[in-house]
Amino acid sequence: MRWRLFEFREIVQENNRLKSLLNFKQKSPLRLIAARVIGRSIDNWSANLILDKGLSSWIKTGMVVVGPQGLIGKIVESNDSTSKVLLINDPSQGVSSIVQRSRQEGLVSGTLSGNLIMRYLPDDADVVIGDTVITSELSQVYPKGLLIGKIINVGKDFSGLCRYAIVKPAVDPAGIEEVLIILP
Amino acid sequence: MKKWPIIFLAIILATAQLSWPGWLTFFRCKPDLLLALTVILVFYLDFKTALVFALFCGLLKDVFLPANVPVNTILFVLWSYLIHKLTTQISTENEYVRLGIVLIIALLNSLVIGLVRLNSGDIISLVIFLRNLIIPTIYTAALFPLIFKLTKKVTA
Repeated sequence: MRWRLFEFREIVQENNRLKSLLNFKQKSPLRLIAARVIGRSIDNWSANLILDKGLSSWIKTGMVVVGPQGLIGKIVESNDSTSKVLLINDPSQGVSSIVQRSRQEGLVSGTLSGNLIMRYLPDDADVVIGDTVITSELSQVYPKGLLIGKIINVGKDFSGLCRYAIVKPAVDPAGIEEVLIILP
Repeated sequence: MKKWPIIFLAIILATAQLSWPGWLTFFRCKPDLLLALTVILVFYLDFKTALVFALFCGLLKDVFLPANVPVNTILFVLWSYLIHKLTTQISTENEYVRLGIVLIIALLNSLVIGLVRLNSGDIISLVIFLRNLIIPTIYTAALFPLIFKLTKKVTA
């Protein structure tokens, strides 16, 4: 009985997730393909996902991966039936971004923790806690205006020349189960 | 002793590592089951076979990583060779000695991969670096006896 209840809760949760994914897909002007996460990073030094769709579903390297809440990452490798996603949480990722309110530009990269870091902000940058960070039009890979997260802390670089902002991602990388891939 | 089930065991451990549940992670860290298996095989098999399996485990790990350089393949083979050299110098029959070797190898493996990432230009804070160095090392060593028993059972 308890097992059945557990199964039922799981189905309800999955249903809710898929509903929000479908809602986003229908409302969005972008061409999207849904995929399921079948694997996560095999080690602790990188942040990536393995999806159940690949070249046979027209998924190619360089495509952007999003969720209903915001940006997730990009496809770095694709084969016939699976593809690898490098999450924005990976330190090797760099996303050209702007603060939505003040239009201040910066580079968001991963930290391998739950948060991201927005670097190269000038000393007089207009950024405050609670500001929303989105992708900028300067990005060659990511479409403009995708939600990245919210600023939760602002600090000064060790050199004293720049400031940085800690960004809480809109999508928790540890809890992603389904994603949407943007088709060009 | 049957050797072919080790291939399946390695695949099962890789799958477990890929789909490691969130509630079993400590500070977002998971153990390196394939590394533990590689070390066990050096104690358990002849050197040449252990080396072949080390290559297989390293490749298996690298296949699922976004990096272009097969760091794990190189390191796993290297650790296998070094442990074999060590076993000719000291006795590794004692369980605590084996545990100590796993602990050192897991720490060195994490350290080298971390340094490779830093060298490639990634910025990793000291806290995250130390976290990724210490927690997976202890976690891997803690699961070592379990994987050892599993390997014995599978190959019996």
